[in-house]
Amino acid sequence: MSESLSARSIRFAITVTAPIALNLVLGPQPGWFMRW
Amino acid sequence: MTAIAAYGVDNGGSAGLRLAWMGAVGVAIIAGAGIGSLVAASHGFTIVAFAFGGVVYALSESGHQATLTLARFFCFGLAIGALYMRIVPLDIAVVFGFVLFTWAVSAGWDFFSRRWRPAELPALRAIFNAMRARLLERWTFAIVLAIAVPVSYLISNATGQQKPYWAMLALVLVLRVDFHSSRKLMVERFVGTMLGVTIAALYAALLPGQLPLTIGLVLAALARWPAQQRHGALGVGAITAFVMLMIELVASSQGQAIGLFAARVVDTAIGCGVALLALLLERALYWAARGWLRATPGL
Repeated sequence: MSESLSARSIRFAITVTAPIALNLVLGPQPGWFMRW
Repeated sequence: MTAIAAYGVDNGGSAGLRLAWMGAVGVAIIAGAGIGSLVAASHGFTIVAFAFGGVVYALSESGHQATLTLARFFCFGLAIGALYMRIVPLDIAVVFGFVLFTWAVSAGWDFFSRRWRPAELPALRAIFNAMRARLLERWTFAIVLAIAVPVSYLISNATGQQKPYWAMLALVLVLRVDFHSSRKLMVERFVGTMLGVTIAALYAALLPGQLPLTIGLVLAALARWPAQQRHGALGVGAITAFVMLMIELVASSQGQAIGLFAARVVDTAIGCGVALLALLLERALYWAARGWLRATPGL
């Protein structure tokens, strides 16, 4: 049973944007753990 | 980047299998960044390390898409460690923290949607067997990659690009031992990069600020797979727009991504150009080695 395109897209968006949002919310400055 | 890489090796299967592959990506990034940090002080050793990254990529190329992803992100870690930052314990915690996060999203999504994705990748033994197949071609490819990866970096560096590792990454994203696959990937990568940076630069110029950029990031991420299904170049365009908007979002000053517009395109062109030359060199080496082996009975 393969994953639907919409499910795949939403799972990808959650996976890759949540870390950036977390960085912005929790980080003491922009690029806190995204140092380079 | 860890989340993107870990997502890239998520081919379904049991929760343990997913964690193993995603953990391997974390190890590849940290190993790359660790080696990069060790050689960072020496230009010569940095070049040798990039050549080593090329060999690792070449030897994993025929295994599976997942082994390719591991090798590509090993090269990514190598470049970051050698060129931009020395690894610190926080980096290790962040990388494995997001490995666990990506795994939790993967397993949690399937659990709550009650549609557990079965494993869509072959057994490890089959992957290793594929990596050992066509040994002569594998080693001629490895020799060429050991030259091509440092060359792409050196050209980018010599032309004053701000992010020379982008040329290396473009190279390992498009170079396959099969000429037709490589040509297709090169065209998709170059056209998609032009498209992605143009969209990101226009978006960031017209809609600056944290909230609009965050919305843009989510839209680019949502568009990634539908765009990829329509055409490879559109998929590359979506992920490029995502990366450029991310740089703009975490930048300390506004307009940083726009300033990198040209660098991204030039580096992609350098990576694709070196990849084309590398393919020609690989064919020449392969036929020379094959001829030599045939003319030397007993070997």
